[in-house]
Amino acid sequence: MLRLADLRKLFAPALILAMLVLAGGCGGGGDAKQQSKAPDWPAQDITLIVPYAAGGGYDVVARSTAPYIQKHLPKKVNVVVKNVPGAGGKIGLMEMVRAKPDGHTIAVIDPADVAILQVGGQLEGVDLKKLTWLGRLDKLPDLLTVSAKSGFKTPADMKGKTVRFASIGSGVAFRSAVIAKGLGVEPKFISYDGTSPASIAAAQGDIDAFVVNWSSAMRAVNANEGKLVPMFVAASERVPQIKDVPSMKDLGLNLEESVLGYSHILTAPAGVSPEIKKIWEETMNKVFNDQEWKDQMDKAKYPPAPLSGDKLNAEVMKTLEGAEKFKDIIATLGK
Amino acid sequence: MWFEGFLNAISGTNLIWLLIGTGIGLIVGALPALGANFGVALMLPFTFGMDPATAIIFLCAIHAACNYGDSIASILLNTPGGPGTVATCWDGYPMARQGKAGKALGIATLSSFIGGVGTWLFLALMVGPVTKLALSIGAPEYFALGVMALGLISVASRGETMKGLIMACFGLVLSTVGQDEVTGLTYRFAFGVPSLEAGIPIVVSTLGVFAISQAIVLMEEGGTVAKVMQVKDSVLSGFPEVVKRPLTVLRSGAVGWFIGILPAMGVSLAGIASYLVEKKYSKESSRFGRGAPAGLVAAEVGKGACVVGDLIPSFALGVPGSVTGAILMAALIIKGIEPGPRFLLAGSLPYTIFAGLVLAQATFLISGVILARWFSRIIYVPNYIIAPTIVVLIFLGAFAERNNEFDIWLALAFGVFAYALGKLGYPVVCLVLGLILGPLVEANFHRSLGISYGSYDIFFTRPIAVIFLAVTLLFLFGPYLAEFVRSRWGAAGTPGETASAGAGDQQLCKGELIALAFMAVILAVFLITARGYGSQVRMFPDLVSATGMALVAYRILGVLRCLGTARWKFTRPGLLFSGSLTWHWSVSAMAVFAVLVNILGFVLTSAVFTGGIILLTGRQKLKHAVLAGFLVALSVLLMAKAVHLILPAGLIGIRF
Repeated sequence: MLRLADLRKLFAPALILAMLVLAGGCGGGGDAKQQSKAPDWPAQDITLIVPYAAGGGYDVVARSTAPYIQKHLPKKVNVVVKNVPGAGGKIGLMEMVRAKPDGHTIAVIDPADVAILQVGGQLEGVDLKKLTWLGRLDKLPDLLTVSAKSGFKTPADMKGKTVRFASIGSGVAFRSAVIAKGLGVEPKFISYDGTSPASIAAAQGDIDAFVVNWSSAMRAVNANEGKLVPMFVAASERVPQIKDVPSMKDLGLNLEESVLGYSHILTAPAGVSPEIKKIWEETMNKVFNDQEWKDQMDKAKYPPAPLSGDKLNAEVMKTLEGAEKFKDIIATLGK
Repeated sequence: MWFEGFLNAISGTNLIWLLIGTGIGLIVGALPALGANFGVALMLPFTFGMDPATAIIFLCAIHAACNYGDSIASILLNTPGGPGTVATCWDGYPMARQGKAGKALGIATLSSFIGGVGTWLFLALMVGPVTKLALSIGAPEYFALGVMALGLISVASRGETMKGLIMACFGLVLSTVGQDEVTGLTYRFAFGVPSLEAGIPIVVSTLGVFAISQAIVLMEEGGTVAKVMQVKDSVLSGFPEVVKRPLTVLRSGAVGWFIGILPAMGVSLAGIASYLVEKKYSKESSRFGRGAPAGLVAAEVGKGACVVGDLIPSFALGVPGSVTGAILMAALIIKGIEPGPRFLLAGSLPYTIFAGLVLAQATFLISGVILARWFSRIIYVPNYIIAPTIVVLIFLGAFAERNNEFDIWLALAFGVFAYALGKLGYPVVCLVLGLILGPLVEANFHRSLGISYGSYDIFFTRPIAVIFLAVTLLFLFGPYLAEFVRSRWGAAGTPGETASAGAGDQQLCKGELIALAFMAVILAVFLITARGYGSQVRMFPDLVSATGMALVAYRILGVLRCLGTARWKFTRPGLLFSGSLTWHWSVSAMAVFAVLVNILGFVLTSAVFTGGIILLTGRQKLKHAVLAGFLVALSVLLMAKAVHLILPAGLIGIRF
């Protein structure tokens, strides 16, 4: 039974405990400030946010890379992968954006995917251009895959027709819309939960085409032997691993390349101090030169395409600005 | 090939990892609220150094043992260990209360083993045809299947059809929260809450509906779970109960298997569906819900069959049958192995993995028999210790589902709602059926129309879809038809089910009125909000909200009649000083938990909450409360550390 006397007894120890805790908290804050001057970093475990569910492409890339970041960080801390899925990647992205910019919280994102959220007015005023882009892990061009039952062999077959595209979240719908516009095709979007169900629907002939990165697309093509046809790579160069598939240049197409394709980029919030950013870039360069990491990425069929520093920044800005050009397409997607 | 596979699976380190996986799975599974997805996802990083077969065997062992362990919490505490074992509670827990915990655990152990191994045999021998079947199921077929499963509501709510329909409609309405199923690009009914834009995860809602509500009940009851203070029966005594019900096993196995091999329908549906189908056809159906062994057998066989049935399409088809299937696929992809039809041609590896799958079933069977009695002791622990511990674990599980503090609130809200409606005699399982099936039905309805360029013919021209829809009609109207035929031809007339509205406990009537008014307000808000969405996006929510509104209104009229002239009476909520708490107190305490998490962080809050509840129940001295709080917080901390889970640190920001 709870008596008032008990409560009073409880109060004093609780107060002391609370003060201790507060003191500890403040002390910790003070430490962190000093650390930013002398680059004694990282001070705690690194959280690597994956804004999608466990088991997907982002997750595979993040989990394949995390052990190597851990290996090459200047101090021994854990790199913990944290899946924060939902709302087309928005929830996880916002968690990273709002985290303390001390370099301990990063996320793996694709600039085109998040650009759509921003252009669509979903990001509550966050300016993606200000984020700290730490390093690109890979770059996978999109592949337009069609159902064998659709009868489409070349882009010319599709011109002027209504084509049923799979929409797998806003990123895929957007890229499909961009490609459809370039091909002179009227897209009809049918929503699916992932590449696997969408590819089965295409194999059955229920839909005509889907646009996903070539790695996922070829996995689907191989799993549904003969029922899916890779039409072209939506990039000016062919992909070395699938040399038989023509590039859009081979077919004389000119699509807005800056917003097509996927790249998984490690990103920290805006306002990370230059010292910490430098440590991150050095760490990532060590990862990029680690043959074991490259082998791991190759094995998972996400061939590494490292990029960092000013070149990476320039590329990201091009994508973010490219997405602005398609404001009208993005606005119609939700209708 | 098979011989080589089995040999590989038990050779060297594989066997050791199989056993370790089983151990981890049993612990994670037996803890209430932490389910198989959680266990497998968290162990994934540890498999990176292993070779592919070992990694998959390890993860499959965790998966199998977790799903088995989930039943333990369901039977002993009436708290589903994971979404797959909701139906296990319904007859397992009553058995445990009657002192037959050992027998119940035995039934669960053997049933899920039989379900798993039976499905495995069937699938391993017929991968080809099964793959074809799964591939021939498209959007219209899924739509028909979803409708068929919704038909189960008629069974779930026997005698209380109106209440069941209201619950199902409300579940369907809530299932439309989040990314829309038509375009995937509108975030519906989020009301400015970012976390709602991502929808209501089924793990969180089931935890709330079945586990939080049970925690409230435990605190209310006080005492211990076991009303009969002796558990005399052995685990093995449950085995004959399973063996002597071959029909039940076959029926539930078929349901679980079918749900398993279909991508997009997972284990959360399998147990419930098998149970409800069995309730319709079993001779013992009148005892269901009061400790009928057949009900427990059905729920467990269905779950066991689905657990294995889920995995084989993931490997052989490259299509994940469930979240766990997706994670296992990722484990393979990381190793550079492509799941899909070619997977079966990859030398002895697939056979090793398939052998590992069945061996994992055997290890949980053996460890289940050895350990179950030991686990069953938990029902002697007083509720004032068990209940707060469960609550901490539920909140941990709800949080861990998508690493989101908001989900603690969500679980709590569902828990209070389900607790209240359960008291009023509403079948809350219908709410969960609605939540599970809503997206399936809506998405595939619009998908079908997209595929057919807008023509409704697609539902009547695809043979499989037509068959499913016809079966549904038969299922729903079969009993009425039979009765009609009987009365027409003058056979011995059996009186139809007289749904007695009950003499009408005034208190209950008032409570129901409040609940109905609450639902009406929510439905109205949904109807109004939906006006802002595109015509396709609002079509399904409009339909179910309007239907729900009509049902609620009809029900309110009925309740008003029973209210009569009675005046409102307020009972003053107070503490009961007999080691128990009224729901007002336990719910308030949980709300305080949800607030404190944001200030003190998860670990400290667990300590404060556990200690606080123990003090509130008034049975223990301060030092005992502090000790219990400390122990719970310590275990939460150790658990989080062990599985690399980042807990909310709160405002103070202490990172342990």
